[in-house]
Amino acid sequence: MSVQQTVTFKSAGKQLVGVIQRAGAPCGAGVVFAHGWSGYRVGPHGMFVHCARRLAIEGIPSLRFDFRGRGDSEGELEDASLITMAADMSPAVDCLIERTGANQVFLVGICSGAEVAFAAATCHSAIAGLALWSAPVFWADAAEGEEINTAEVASRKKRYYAAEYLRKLLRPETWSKLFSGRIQFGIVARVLLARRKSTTDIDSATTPQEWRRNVLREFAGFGGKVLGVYGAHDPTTGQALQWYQSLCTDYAIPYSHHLVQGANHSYYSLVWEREVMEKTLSWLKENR
Amino acid sequence: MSGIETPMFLASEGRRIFAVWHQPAADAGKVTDTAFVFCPPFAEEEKCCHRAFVDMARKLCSRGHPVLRIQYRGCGDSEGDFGDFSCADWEQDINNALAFLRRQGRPRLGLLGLRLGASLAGRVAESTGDVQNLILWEPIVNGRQYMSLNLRRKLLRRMLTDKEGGESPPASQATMTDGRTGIDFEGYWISAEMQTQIGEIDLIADAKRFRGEVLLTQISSQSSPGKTIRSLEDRYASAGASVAVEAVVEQPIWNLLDLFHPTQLIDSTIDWMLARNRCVVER
Repeated sequence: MSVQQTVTFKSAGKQLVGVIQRAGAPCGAGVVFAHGWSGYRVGPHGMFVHCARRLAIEGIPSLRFDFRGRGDSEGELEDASLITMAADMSPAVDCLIERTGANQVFLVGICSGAEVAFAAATCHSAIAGLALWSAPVFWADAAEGEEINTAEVASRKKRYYAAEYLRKLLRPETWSKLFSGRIQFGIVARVLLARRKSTTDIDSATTPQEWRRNVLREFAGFGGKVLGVYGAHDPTTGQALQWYQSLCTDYAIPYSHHLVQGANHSYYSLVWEREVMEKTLSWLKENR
Repeated sequence: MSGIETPMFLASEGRRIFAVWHQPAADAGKVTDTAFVFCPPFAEEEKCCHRAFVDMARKLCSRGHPVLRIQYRGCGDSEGDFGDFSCADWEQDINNALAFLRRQGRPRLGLLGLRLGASLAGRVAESTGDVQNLILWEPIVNGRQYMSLNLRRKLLRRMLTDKEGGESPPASQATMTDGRTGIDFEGYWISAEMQTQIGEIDLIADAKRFRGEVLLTQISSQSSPGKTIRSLEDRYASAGASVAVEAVVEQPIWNLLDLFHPTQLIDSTIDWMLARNRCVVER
């Protein structure tokens, strides 16, 4: 039987609360779940919990956590935004990697959580794929098609890395981990080589619109795969599905989707929930 | 965040239930003598009000009251499948949470519950001798009516929204592959046993022995208490309890799609607590 463990970790100085679902025989892949705007880490009708338990049986550990200002995490309701939620993802991925040794991370998000997963796709080098459940259109104006300056993106990445690692070196806990032998050098090396960048940092964007524009630019460099899952009876499905599909096609990012017949936005039925979980699981197994 | 918050798993009848233990910080003043167990409502209502419970716990804790928030077996992060448990199991979870507080050396105990959680809290308070404070937020007084209303509301929503997105399938009785019968209620499997036990809830009939302090809080658009809450008040009073009734004009925190901080509800409850417990803040 898989084991659940409570975890806490910091993001922007706030304590975030989560639950790690351990897997009996880990396969190297792991999942971080991103809940929706008004939910918390269990997801609608507990479907994140059910999915995490199902994944654990297949050897995939996971982390479910509450964004700052949500669930059991620290912070005020009104201080949370999609930007802060996206900024919480990188520490969450770090937490999963540190606690489970996963070396390939998939983000699974629902509704606004799917937008957050999309926004955080490039925040960490270990992220290999996104399963977006009922993801709304991230930015309608993007259909106009922006030119992506890849050189500018690469240069921004480099600047970010320098600052990021300097910041980490200055943390007392980094040195404490170093002396107590708790630093996993393999992971550090992998992250150093592949690097990370700043699209999800609130400081890097002055307005939500600019932040969304930055996310779109950065997403062009995403090297993973994307699965979209939608309820066929969700009124937003048609437009959103088309938006992600065409964006991924433009960026040459492998995209597949699955429609749950008859289902609504949050899959409020055990049958629909099971279909979402099984489809996601088979996609993860194919792509891990 | 005031105080120390520790997420943990507690043992309950061979399973582990998720809980958050709020302990007052040293600067919260002299810790008062009542520690609370929070009893969440049913199914998706818990998800909707989760943050309101967190806010309430933090506020109580800042006034010196330790709080243990729990999730029943099969709910939230707690072990087990929702459909495997009944009201009796969840009452046992509340009892085990109270036992945790006793082990922490808390001599005075309180329960705070919302909706079905309030009904369960009321029943547990009847059967244990050492619960002194009982806070019932919009309690489900009649379980049969509650189930019936839930199912009718679901059917109505389905009829209204079917063409433009739909609701979940009708909540008809179904049989699982293992032979168990129950209802798929918006993604929650409600077993036949659970349906029966909820149907048997009659809080007015159940309130017989509790003699502590009770706060009955009606949460609605009405500023005066309705007939049901008054009947419950009478019943507790005749059993020998000290009862207060509050009618708080507040949104239904168990049924909102968006997040909401129920300021009035929290403040009125804190005021009642402070008056009852003579909390002395020493800074």
